[in-house]
Amino acid sequence: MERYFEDVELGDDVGPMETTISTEQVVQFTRIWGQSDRPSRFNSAEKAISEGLDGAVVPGVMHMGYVSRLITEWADSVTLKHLDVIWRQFVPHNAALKLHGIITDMREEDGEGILEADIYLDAVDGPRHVTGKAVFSLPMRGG
Amino acid sequence: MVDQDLEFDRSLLGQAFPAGSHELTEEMVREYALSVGETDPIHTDAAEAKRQGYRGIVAPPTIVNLLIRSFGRPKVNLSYTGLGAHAGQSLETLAPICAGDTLQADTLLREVYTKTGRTGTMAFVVWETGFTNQDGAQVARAQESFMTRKE
Repeated sequence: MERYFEDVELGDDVGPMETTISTEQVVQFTRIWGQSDRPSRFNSAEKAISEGLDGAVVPGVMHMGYVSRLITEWADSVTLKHLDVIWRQFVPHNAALKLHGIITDMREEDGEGILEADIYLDAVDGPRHVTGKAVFSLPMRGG
Repeated sequence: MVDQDLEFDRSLLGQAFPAGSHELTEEMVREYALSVGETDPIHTDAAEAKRQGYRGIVAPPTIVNLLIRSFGRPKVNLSYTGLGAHAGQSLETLAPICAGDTLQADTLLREVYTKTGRTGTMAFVVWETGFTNQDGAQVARAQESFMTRKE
């Protein structure tokens, strides 16, 4: 969606985006990540349970990629500048997840429209897994 | 604040360590993009990326997270031995990263601190890593925070 800085107001929603991260996706990710050669809390429920978890979990650096998409898919010409996430709870495989955000600050810097948003990754029917802050830019009309 | 019981190798604080050279292949960028559900063709289609003015397939901004785990960092020798987890991550994107780029990484131990909550005391170890491309441009900076429980 084409979106300009002037189209946005403080308090506007970013997203929401609903998704599920499947076991197959996590396995693919751990292979690219170079972490698939041994059982871990990410690719083995048995290993995860032995570490005191309820089951296999999604790597934080993987679901951070989904949080990034919340911003980059919100507008066609958005540029992500800073993404800061705090992982509060482990994200299980195959769970229904909701990513969303809210615009908390807007300013013009060197001809760029800069926005800040508080961002969240929640279970659709459960706890908040991730909180964070994103700083990004949108083009300005006539810019 | 640091718990007086916490021991670690304080000589590492603030010291930068070279963390290797990492080539981003088209295959790696495309597979990473697909694994995190990216649908924009600039992440998977070289022709479309070049049509939009990029030198190659554009990596999703979080791709540097893939590289960080492969670093052979010095051991902090933390005295806490409880359950550990990656507690958070911060990423600053400074320039586009494309397939075919070679990124040079440097990492340093930024800080070690403790926090005590309802579940006990935890130590946090924060590493900071900068990435520079083959043209000498700084393209990203990441901070990772790792938590370890006291017991």
